[in-house]
Amino acid sequence: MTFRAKLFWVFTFALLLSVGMIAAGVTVVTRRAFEDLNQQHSDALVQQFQREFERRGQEIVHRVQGIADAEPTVRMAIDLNRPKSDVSIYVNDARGVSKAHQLDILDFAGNDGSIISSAEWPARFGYKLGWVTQPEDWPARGAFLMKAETPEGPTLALVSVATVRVGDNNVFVAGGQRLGREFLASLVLPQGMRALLYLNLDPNFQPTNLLDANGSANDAERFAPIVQREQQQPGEQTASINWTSDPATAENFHALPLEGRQKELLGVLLVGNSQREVAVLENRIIWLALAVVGLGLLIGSLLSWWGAARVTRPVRELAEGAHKVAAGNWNAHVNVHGGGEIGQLGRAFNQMTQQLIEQRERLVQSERVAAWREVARRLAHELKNPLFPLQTTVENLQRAKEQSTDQFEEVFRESTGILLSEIENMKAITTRFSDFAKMPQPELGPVNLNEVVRSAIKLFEAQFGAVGRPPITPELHLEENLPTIQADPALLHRALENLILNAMDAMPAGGVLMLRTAHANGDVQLEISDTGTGLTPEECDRLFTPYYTTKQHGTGLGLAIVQSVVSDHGGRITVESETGVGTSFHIDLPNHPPRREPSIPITFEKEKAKEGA
Amino acid sequence: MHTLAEKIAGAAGSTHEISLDVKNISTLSPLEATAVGRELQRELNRRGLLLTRAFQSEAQVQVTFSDRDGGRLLIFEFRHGTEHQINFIPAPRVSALLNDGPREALTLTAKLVWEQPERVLDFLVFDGIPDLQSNLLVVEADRLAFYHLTDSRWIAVRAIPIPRFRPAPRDLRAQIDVERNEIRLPDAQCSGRVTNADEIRCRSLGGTKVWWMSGAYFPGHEGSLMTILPQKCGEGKFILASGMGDWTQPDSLQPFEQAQSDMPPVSAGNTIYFDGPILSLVADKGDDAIRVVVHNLKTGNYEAYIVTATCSH
Amino acid sequence: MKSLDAGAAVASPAEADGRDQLNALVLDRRAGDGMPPLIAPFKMAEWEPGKHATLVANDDASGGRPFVASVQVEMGRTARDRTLDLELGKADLAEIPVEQARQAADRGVRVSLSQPDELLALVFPAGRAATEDARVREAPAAAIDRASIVNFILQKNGEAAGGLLPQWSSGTAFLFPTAADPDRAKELWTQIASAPKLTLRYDSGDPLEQSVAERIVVNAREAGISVTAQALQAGAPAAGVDGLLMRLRMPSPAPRAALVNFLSVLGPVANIDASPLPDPATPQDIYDRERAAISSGRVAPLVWLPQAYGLSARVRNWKAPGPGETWPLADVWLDIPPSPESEKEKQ
Repeated sequence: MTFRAKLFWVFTFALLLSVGMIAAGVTVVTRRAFEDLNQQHSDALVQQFQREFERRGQEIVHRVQGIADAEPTVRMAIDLNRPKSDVSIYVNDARGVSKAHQLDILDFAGNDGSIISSAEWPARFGYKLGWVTQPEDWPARGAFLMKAETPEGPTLALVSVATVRVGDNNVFVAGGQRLGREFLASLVLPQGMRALLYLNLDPNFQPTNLLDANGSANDAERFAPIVQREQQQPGEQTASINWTSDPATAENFHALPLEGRQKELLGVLLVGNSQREVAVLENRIIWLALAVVGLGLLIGSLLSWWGAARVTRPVRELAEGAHKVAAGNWNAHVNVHGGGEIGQLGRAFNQMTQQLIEQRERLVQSERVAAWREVARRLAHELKNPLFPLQTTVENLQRAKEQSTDQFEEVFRESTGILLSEIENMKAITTRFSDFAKMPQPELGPVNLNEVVRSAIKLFEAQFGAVGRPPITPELHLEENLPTIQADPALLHRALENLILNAMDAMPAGGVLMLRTAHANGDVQLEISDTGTGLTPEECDRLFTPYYTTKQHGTGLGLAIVQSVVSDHGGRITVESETGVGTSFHIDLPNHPPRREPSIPITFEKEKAKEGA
Repeated sequence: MHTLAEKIAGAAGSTHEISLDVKNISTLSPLEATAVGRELQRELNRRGLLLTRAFQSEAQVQVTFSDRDGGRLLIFEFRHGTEHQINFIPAPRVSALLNDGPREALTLTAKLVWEQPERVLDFLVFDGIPDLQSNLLVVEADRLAFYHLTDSRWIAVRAIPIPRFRPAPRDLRAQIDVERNEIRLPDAQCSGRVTNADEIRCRSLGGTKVWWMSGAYFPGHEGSLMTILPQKCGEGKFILASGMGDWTQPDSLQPFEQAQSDMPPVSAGNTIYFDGPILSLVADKGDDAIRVVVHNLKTGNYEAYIVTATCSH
Repeated sequence: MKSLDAGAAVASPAEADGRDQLNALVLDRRAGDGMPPLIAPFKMAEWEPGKHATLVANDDASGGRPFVASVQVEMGRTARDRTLDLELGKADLAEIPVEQARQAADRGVRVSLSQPDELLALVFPAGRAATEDARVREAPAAAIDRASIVNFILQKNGEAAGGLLPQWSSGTAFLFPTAADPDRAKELWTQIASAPKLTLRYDSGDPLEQSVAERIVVNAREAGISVTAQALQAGAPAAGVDGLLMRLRMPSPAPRAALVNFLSVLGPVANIDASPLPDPATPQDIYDRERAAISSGRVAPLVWLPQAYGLSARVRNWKAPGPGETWPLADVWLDIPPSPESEKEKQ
């Protein structure tokens, strides 16, 4: 995948990720905000309910106390305190009083709790309200919830009790209002909220006991789990009801237990929050997010493509320049303008290549100088050997001439012979130098390295088993189907000869000469190993230095030639050796040697003149 | 009554011991119903039935006096084991239920003798001659006051203080006992001929005696003042009884006759009414006059009456 | 009342009774053979059916001219309005519901009560599967607290009823127990395998019946018996109800006549023996027939109701009519306080 494509996908992914995260974040925040708002609304409604509850309770306490303090009630209490008083005359009093004081529930009860008059159930006179005679500080109790019996069945009511005490006897006034539809209708509800009241008058859930502001609530059965949980474990809790598969129809309910005087669960207030707004808003957010993502993708694609192009072009140029440099073209120059890191990188690249070129020139120059110095040294070293006897011979001649003519002839004959020999030696040295200098460029063609190896071994077969020397056993491990390579067979042969010769020289006591070919990663590999004396690591380092030799004889150019041939073929040669064990040369030759840049011509005045001559 | 007794005896059969419960839900007065009940007991006894308590009897008889349209009804229920009989006997007026003849009756008359705002506990008109009763002794809370009738007016002649070391009890009463020549109060006593002011000496008793007032009692008249009348208009005993109200209500006097000691007294004469409660009712032996002290609620005065009872025939 | 015509239809038994009362006041009656007719004490001066009638004294009335010169009769007024008329002095005489008599008296109205001559009874119509089991009838009847109904609902103007005839008429009513026995009621009800839920109907226009019905529901509930009270339009057929309240007015003080009348009404409804009684009937005959009717369990007498009348302060010599009797308006006079003019004349 190109950098531009990667950059495009990165931009796109970043955009998607950011938009998605933003959308998700907004959704979560919005949902939480709504939940908080709903919770606030619920809390507010619960508080409103509690305030209204309290207000009604206080009102009921006030009214009931007013009834108890009223003269007719006091007279009734006084009258009932007399022996043989007639309680029947008061049997109808409660109804009128309850209507006057707007109470749904009103009972007058005697000292033993017997109902004197009942507004909500007039026929219950004479029966006992046992609970009203329980030891209780009724004024301190205030208003409380209780289950009131009516002809239509039990109902929930907010009730207060006042006591009229005359002598040792009490008349109890228990009055209150039903808690039901009317109470719910009195609550002010924000949009999307509703309140329901479950009257817990039966041990089992009864759908008809669930009321809303209009009466019996619809779909009451859906509330059964909430109510049953409340019945088992009273406490504030929340639950959600999904009315349909559409989440917009869901409602969150906050359940608040309503307890009676003895902490028994008498009712459950359910405050419902519609989730429609949240769902709609979430839907909008999602659609908006999708639109933004889509638009963002489009814009992002364009931007990222343009941005990637802008960003990657200098990078691409840099890449191309680096590629050129890697290919050997150190003259690569990138056109990167502008500031920023890319610009700096481009300028640094150009600077680097320039420096590389300069350094290479300097290196080449210094190598050339070093090579010339080495050549000079070597030449001096080589020439010094024959020059000394030459000098000595001439001095001998001079002395002989000076001393005696008889000896001069002999000396002249000996000396001329030495002079001619040394001159031949010097001619050989110069020839070798000349040969090394005239190493030809490889002429590439398809070559099967196995054949080159076999050819070279065949050349030395006679010498491997020569009389008077320990035998050397050649072992060939040539890979079949070795691919052909583009190479110069003659140069390869020559290099191979030098390596075989070196191996033979390293095994004066005989041994094994192993040649192996293989191919891997597109390269052809040649290994030449001997079981000779081996080389030290220092010797390995200098092995390919021209004129370096460990032998008594030789110019030390053999391995340099091998290295030169290998290098000309674009290959690589390494050596492994262990003293006393042997030495292995590893040559890797590519399938196609790279095009060699022409060498920087060495401009030496003298050599030119010589060649011209 | 005979019919009823016969029916009961017939229902009892060989049973000799029965319990009898008489219930009255008719307009018969309680006294009349009781009288009839006792008559029935006698009739049953004559028929050899022994009346015992319910838990001791072999059979239970319940007799109910009831009223119905057009007359009275006697219902008797006979229970013997699981047997339960109900019989009905139409009955006439109660007078026919009783075998007694017509009763004697008394006529009461009352004459106001004295009235005063101060409280009167008892009084006595004396001089021994009923037609010339020219002296009056009035026992008040703190004194004995003597009056003499002059020109048809009572003139005060003497007052003798009643000594006390403590305040008088709330329920202060007094009774002049002519026979014993003493005047009794709860916390004092005056001795000497009550008709002679010079002889009377009063002293404080230091404490308070429980005062016995009524000389008679019968059921249904608890709280009444009663006295036995000395009159003899027949074999029975005559009792004069006040009403059963308290001191805030007007009162009355009614005579009753108790034919036999084991029978309840029955009304035996007219009733006289007063405008206030009767505070004292005394009949001395040998004196036909009954002394009555009334607190007139309308005037506030204390009134002294002499009530006389005469036989109607 | 719409018409004085005896054959004309009336809206209610009360209207029929009112018509009969007016008839007795304005219509001459035949006396015995050879006797002159009984001339009615009043003549009808104005007649607005169902609303108003004016009676004027008949100078030729048998027994003498009535003491009052005329009587204005207003019809169709509610009980509350009638009581208010009395309190405000707009009426001299008014029928008032017996359960309101005491309250009216407390407010200063003079109240005259007749002998209790109207029976309020709980009747179980025949032909209902739910009440075929005698225990289903007996249990709720045993639970009823008649004393409370008399003391509280009737405000002590009435008597608990155990039999079909009142004590003052038969003399034997006390032989029929009236006390509630809730323990017996519970025991009977628990014996019933699948105890039904009973419906008790009452006249929707009768507050007394409603109060009594509601009290019966409470009494029954305390004994574990499920009874619900429902209002029924007056005159609606009794079919399809488990129990209903009925008011039976005695047509005569004579026990036989009253009992025969009651049985003729109850017989078809509750399948009670309504065969004729001997004439004359002994107290034993009457008692036995009463006992048989009560023992069937189809009728449970509840209370005896007197008729209550409110009188203004000036009405004198009013005696509440007994069963079969008419309003004695001819014997009533008004004690009118002397006017200042007449006092001056006297002086």
